[in-house]
Amino acid sequence: MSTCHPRRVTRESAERTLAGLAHGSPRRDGAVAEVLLALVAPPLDRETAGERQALSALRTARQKPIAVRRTGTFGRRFRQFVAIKVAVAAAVLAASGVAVAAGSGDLARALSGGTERSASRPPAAAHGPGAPDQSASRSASHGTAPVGPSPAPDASMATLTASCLEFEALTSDGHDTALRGKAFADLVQAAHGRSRISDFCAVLLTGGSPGPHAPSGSAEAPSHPTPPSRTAHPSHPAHPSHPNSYFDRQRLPDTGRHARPGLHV
Amino acid sequence: MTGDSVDAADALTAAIAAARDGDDDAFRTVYRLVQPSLLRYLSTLIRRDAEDIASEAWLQIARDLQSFHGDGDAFRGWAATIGRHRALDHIRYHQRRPAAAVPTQDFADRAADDDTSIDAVDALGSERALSLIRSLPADQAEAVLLRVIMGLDAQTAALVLGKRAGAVRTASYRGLRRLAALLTEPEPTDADRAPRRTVTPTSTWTLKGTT
Repeated sequence: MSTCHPRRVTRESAERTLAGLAHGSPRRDGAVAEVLLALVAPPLDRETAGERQALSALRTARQKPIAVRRTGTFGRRFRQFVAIKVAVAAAVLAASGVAVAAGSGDLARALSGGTERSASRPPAAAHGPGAPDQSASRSASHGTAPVGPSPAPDASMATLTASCLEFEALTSDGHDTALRGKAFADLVQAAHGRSRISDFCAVLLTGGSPGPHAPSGSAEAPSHPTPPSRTAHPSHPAHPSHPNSYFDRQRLPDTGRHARPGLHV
Repeated sequence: MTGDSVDAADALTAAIAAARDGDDDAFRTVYRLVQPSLLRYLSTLIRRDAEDIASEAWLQIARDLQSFHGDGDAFRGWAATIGRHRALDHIRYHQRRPAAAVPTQDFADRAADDDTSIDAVDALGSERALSLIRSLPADQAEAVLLRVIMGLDAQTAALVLGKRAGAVRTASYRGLRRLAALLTEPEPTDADRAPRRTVTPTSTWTLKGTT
């Protein structure tokens, strides 16, 4: 048997050997090449013993097709990019709002807990997944709103939830009358209009986040509540790996056998 | 197998497309073309339960095949990635040693009974060859296996391992050089057979490919 001295193995020769194997023209020029060829020896029967099981899994998968996500690598990376942009923008906005609020003295008031709004801050459980941080958004709206009586009193989630419950309790005949009253003013404002209250409350009461309460001046931006099922990037907890995920250089989690998620942006 | 030719890659690409269109026979072809490679690769990562891990990987492949887009080479990379992640999850699940880098007995128990001496080459089955590869440091073994058994180029293997292509080339080169060193050791005699079995330091078998 021929042998191959380690000193004869160079980067170039190693690449040639590997490339030769990959292209089906292996160089039988030494013991190393023989070993590598043996690695790709014809398959044994026992190595394909799971064929039936795999096929049955395929048939099952066809019967229950999963929701196919957009799988383009570019699309995923673009969404990541946009999400990061939005997150950074939100962080900057919040930070600037805090700065302005500090300058105008609102921050001190807010921190002192003297306002009735901060007294009625909702419990943490009232936050839906992804709910905006109340203090941050409030500070931001204070920072950008003109000083003086605020045109957009920012009701807390708890207050809004209570209003929604009241609203739901009313009959449809009583809706219009009730919505004109002061009792639902905050709710109307948060939902950006009376006609959107139903959707807003539906999301709020089912535990979703109705989105940030922008002042009504920015109502052109369609920030009305979005039902959870319409979120742009649904999570797939039962779908732990993306088919093209190996393009994305994912990091593995440290724990959990099947906890490796795709990158849900 | 992996190294046959470009035709084999084309056949795999065509079979994947047909399988996605609902052709069961095409899926069988995909399975037969990829599974032996995948199992041999996984058996180096995790020896004892490699068949189970490969089965799990195929369940996932079958489930997600509809959303896979790519050619045969990309499919091999995808399958290797799924199998590797499953294997790492399995190793972590059975954490025998809590450590950041995952040294595993499963991973390392490969050489306990394996004779990695040169006479392994005499009757070179894939098992013997795999035994030799298992005696390499983990990063070198993985690089060699992904490129040889799974038939991936350095770039795709790098994506599977989460490394740069240059690092994969270096690891494969070092693996081959070490393999050559193993193979050029003098023929074993009864006197030196026992110490020669300790050539492979188990402490080098740590899995560091997740960054």
